[in-house]
Amino acid sequence: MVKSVLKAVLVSFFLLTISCNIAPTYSRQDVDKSIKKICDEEFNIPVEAWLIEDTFWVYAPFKEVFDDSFQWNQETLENVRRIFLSLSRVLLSVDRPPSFFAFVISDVEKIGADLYYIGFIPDMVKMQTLFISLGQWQEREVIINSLNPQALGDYTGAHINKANITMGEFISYLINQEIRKHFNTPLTKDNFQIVNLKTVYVDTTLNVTFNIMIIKNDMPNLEDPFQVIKETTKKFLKIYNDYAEITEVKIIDTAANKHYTYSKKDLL
Amino acid sequence: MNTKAKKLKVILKLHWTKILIGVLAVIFFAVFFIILIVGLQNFFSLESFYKRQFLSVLPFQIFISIVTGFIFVIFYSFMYMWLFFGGGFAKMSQKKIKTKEVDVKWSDVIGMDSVKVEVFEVIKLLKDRAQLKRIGGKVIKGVLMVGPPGCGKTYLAKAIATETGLPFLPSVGSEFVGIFVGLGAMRVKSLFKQARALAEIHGGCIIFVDEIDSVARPRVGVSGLGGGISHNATINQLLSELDGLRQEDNNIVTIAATNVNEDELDPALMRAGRFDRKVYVDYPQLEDRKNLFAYYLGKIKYDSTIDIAVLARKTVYFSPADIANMTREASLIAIRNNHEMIIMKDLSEAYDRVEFGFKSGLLLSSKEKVWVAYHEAGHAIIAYLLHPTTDVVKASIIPRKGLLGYAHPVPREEIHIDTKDQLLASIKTALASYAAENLKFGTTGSGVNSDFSSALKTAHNMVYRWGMGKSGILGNFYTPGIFHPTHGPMISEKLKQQLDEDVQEMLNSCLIEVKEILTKEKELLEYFAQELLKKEELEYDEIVEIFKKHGKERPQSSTS
Repeated sequence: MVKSVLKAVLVSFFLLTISCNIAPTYSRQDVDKSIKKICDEEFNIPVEAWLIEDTFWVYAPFKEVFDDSFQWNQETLENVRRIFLSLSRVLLSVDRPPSFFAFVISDVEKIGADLYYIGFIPDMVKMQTLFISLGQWQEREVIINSLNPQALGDYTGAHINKANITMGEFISYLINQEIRKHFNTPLTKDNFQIVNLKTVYVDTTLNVTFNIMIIKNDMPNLEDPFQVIKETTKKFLKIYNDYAEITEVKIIDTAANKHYTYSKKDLL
Repeated sequence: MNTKAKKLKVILKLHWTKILIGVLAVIFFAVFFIILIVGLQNFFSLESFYKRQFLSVLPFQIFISIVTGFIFVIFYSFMYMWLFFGGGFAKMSQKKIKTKEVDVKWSDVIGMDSVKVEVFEVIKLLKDRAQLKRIGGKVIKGVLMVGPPGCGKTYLAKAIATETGLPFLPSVGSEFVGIFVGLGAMRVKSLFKQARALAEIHGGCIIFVDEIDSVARPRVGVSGLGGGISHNATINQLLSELDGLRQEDNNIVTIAATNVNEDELDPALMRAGRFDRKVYVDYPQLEDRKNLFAYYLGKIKYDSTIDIAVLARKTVYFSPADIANMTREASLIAIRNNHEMIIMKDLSEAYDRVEFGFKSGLLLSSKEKVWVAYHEAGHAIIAYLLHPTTDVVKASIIPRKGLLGYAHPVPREEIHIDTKDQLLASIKTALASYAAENLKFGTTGSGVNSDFSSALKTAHNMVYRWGMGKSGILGNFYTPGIFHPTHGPMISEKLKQQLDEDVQEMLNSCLIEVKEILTKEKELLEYFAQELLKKEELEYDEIVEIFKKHGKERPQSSTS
């Protein structure tokens, strides 16, 4: 029994040593070429990619993203999944991986539209190793879509403003997305109207400016929009506490003309 | 065919299994290596993240596999040892009973004094083994208790366990009958193994096998389908264990109990050295029954005027269990009737319940009640006036257990030999119902069915078996080889006709005598029947009183 356990420990140690010494498959320097190669050789999908400081940008132009009934074109959707797979393969196995990825899907023929997927790469690792669930991953992924005529005919991604994304900006996107989602559920959308909602990160300060009107007050214990914003902010600051350099949070209620300023410590 | 081909054929014929195994092994290893190579190729083609992920969980998987392997090996070894060496399924239903749990004292065993004397010797030997060894004797290894059910065989075994203070391993013969062939033998082996272990620790052990007949019937021939193998194996194992004990002399006594005659058990089991001592636990005798009533009534409150001797006389062929049941029923009846203590009437009612069951809900019409009253009066009068050994302890016209009424005859004492007079009196008592109905109503009914059966059976036996017929024909024509119930009697038709005539003559002469007596005692018959109709049930004392009132005494009464 003792011998067997000793053997198992030795084998485990050996395997751990090997796994620590496995060299990354892709280099940071050639990360753009790597994804283009995989998408092209394995899936025959043309993509463009750029590494801008610590953000990896991938641009995928499609002739049609949504059909006439605004549903995903099935062929496009399948190709998007393949690009996501390639993206995760490259980003998970690259040396010194970047912090963020921004994957842009553009409809370049039919309507002219852009769809942004922005994510934090360590979250991608956590999801792959099951430290976070798929649901948590989806909560931590920013999705922005907009009609953009500039996208029409752009197969190279020239119309995309490719810039480095900081953690502060990423958190501000997440907070904005979460608040909009919250006030757009079947339970809340009849009671609230988002007149204005802006989240901006400037010089270690996160500014949340909002005007959310209560248009119907027929529910008991109707939520206070300010409290929802405060709690959402608190949630994401907690999640990214180790990464973010945010020192101050300002919440401005433009309708009531009230300003609230919190230090990071106050919210955590 | 050339020599090489022949050689090859011979080699194939001789070594085809080895060749087959060899080919299969080569295929297995080839497939294994292909899978291994493909797996490694795939592994090395993975991106670094997936390689790390795979290798990082591998130590944990190895650890879990080793732990699972160990658990499986331990569990498998345990199951293997348990199944093949520890008794396995056979042991599941076995339990050791501590003597404290049995708690039946020797003094609690009532009503079997002669049996107790025999069994006490075994107890003494078990308790004082050293003395026996000094003398050089051998411990009695087996005691077989034979007797009707309810006579206290199990109770006696429990008392032995308490008295000796030795571990008591109870089992029932049917436990050794399993659905798997060999399971019974395994159970026997396991039981004796446990007994040996306990004997080592406690200096002795008692194995008690109740209803041993279910396992110890004579061994049978094995049928083509294998029927009988299991039974034979079980009894062989039992014989072997009993013999084994004898050689080892490890102070184990096997007590077995059965309701069947010992002739119906396997002869090998009965030979000396196995069940050395046979104890016949029969129905309690008069004195024993008195003791039993005194014992059971002593535990409850009862009327001091109750004559235990009367109860004992009334309960001939009652087992101790019946007597215990009767007193228990009496206490329940007393509670229901709000009696502060048990009175004779409660005991009488309890007796009826034990003997005849509960009163049935059957309602008789007044005409039928009259009919039954005269029917039973006939039985009672003839039994009282003619039967030398039987008392009518109760007459009733309340339906019970399939009977519309009864005049319950009870032998004054256990009868072991029936004389011709007694048998004729029984026939007359049975036919009295027929005669009474005829006398009173000028016709007869179907109620005489069982009476006629009883009379015919007795007369038939007297003529065919005991040489009591008028023609003086001698012989027991039921002797095997002479009379066969299905193949017909192996006697001449003429002889058979003569015997049948004797039977009818006997029945008719009895009937004539009964008719004469009842005609003569018509007044008594009327009175008895009317009393029965009035009271519905007549107890022994009331019956005696009626006869006394009419100046009638029993011919050879010994009950009063």
